[in-house]
Amino acid sequence: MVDLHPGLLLILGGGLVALLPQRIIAPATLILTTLALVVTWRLDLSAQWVHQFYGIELSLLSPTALARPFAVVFAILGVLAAIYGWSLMNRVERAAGLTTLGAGLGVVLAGDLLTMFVFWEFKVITVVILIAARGRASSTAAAQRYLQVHLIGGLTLLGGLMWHTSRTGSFALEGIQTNGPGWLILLGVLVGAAALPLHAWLADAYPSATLTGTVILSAVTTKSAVYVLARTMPGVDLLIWVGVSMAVVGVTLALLQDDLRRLLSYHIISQVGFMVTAIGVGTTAAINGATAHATAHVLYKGLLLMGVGTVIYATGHNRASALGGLANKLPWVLALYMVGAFSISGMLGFSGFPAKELAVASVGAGGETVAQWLLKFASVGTFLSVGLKLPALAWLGTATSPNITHRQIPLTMYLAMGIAAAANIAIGIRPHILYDLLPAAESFQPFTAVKIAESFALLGATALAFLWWRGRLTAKATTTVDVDLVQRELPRAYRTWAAQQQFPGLSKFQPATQIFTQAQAALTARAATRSVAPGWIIGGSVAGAMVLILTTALLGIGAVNRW
Amino acid sequence: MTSRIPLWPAGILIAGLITIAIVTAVYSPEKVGSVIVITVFALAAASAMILLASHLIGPLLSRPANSRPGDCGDPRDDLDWAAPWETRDG
Repeated sequence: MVDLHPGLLLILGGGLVALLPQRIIAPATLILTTLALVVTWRLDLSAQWVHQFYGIELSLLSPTALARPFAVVFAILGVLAAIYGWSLMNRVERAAGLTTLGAGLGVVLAGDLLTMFVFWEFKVITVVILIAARGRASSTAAAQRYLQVHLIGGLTLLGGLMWHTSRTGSFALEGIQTNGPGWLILLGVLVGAAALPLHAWLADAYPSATLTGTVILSAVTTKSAVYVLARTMPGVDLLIWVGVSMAVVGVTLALLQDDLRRLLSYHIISQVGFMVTAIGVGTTAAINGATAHATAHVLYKGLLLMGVGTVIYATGHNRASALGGLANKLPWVLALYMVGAFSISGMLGFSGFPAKELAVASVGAGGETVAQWLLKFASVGTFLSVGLKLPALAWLGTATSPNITHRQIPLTMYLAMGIAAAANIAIGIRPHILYDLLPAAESFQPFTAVKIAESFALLGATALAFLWWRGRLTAKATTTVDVDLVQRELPRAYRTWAAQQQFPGLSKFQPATQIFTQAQAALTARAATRSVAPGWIIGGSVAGAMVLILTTALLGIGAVNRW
Repeated sequence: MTSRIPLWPAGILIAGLITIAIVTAVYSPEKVGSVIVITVFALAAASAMILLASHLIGPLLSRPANSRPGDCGDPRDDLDWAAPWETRDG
């Protein structure tokens, strides 16, 4: 029997959806994602798609025990997103969503570095479209910033990959050493994992995407990076502290957010930190822990983002400061959201309990006691921000905006959240559903009296502190600055410099706003004779960077061939 | 607003935490120490995080919504579909 490639199926399906008549694209999306799930579930670990490319053996499909849980949960999330977005997604969003899922599957099912890199970069392009598909000026700007960061990350990864291959003659995903090329590869992958201080793109891009787009992004982007780290460089000590810093800083910044999806986005950085820490420990149990946590995280973070997405869909508001008092109006959304919140907090009976316990215990068993306690510190912040602050501000109390209206919520949104909630509860009650998927046999017992007592003590004490200090976590219509401020300031600095170059009469000591105003007036006066189109500058830069990537890749392949 | 949440659930939580400690002491006395340590740790960590966020990191990093360079500067960009007059400030 010939094995299908679920990633290529979704990528081709995405192209097909772009061409189909409007009335059948929603069912077509669901059929394609369901088919991809069936194909992924039935994938034989011995399946291989090997091709010769300029004398190099490339493996498009090479499923491994480590890849399987990632691939399966990506495919499950694809089905959930197709149901959730049944009546929400437009054609572009559907095509971009399917191809993003397909590229994510391509990354985890790739059998060599070059194939992995091609799917990795393809994913960057589809994600840019998925972010920009929201159609707001802020989304387009966020998509551009995402592209800038990931082009740099992609070039770093490509440079490391070519250097590594020229040294070893191998495109194998395993056996990458911590030397010059290895560090470059690690840096490129860490950009994708949103590791500190390269994390700001995530909190910038995810809340700017469409409602369903954010759900897809939360599953595919960082989790493919986690998979690549676990496959290529497990046991690198540096990753322990990179992961711990992500877990602690991510959750602290999450606590400050007013935008609902931005709060959850910072929280993704924190949860990915748990996974990166376990990969840094690198033992078999720790890789199992990272995989279990990544798998469960896709399910409960997807549910959380669907929950707040439903609030945004119903009310039209993104910010906690504009909400409140939704408990009576959207009680089922609150109930389903809380399943995700309890799961992510590691409460008994929900998927996060067996997954997070395994990950944190494996870090402790690896001799990293300080890291283990810092992860527990981050767990406190998780319950505080996602399980207490966000629901308290959005659902409890009285409505901040008395004139707020509500749209009817489609049943398909409830259905998708219901399935995700059921999956989280099922894993929480029967952890072997998750443990059976893991790359190595797992005998961890999460349901011991002491682990349960410790879990309740941690969550109970956190809730007690929240109640005691409850007046301190108010919602204000603010946003926080992050390291992306540099990226945001650079264009302004460039425009100031360019305006001064173009109009030497402007004093460099004038405030920037005055320079802009004068330059704008002068440019408007010139517009009749001269076209000023910043769009082509951006487009040209992107095209140039892509050409650079492809040229470098071809040159690299040629060099390897000659070698 | 969180300040309007009543304080009475704290009583239930305290009773629950004491019960957990007692049950652990009865059935697994050698582990009661670790349960108490976890409780105190979580109380301290959550309090520290809330106070740091509200008094130090929050004021340091927070800016008015949509005021960063590259933001569109229009508060209506926060609205998914709601009309501007439906906002608190609108």
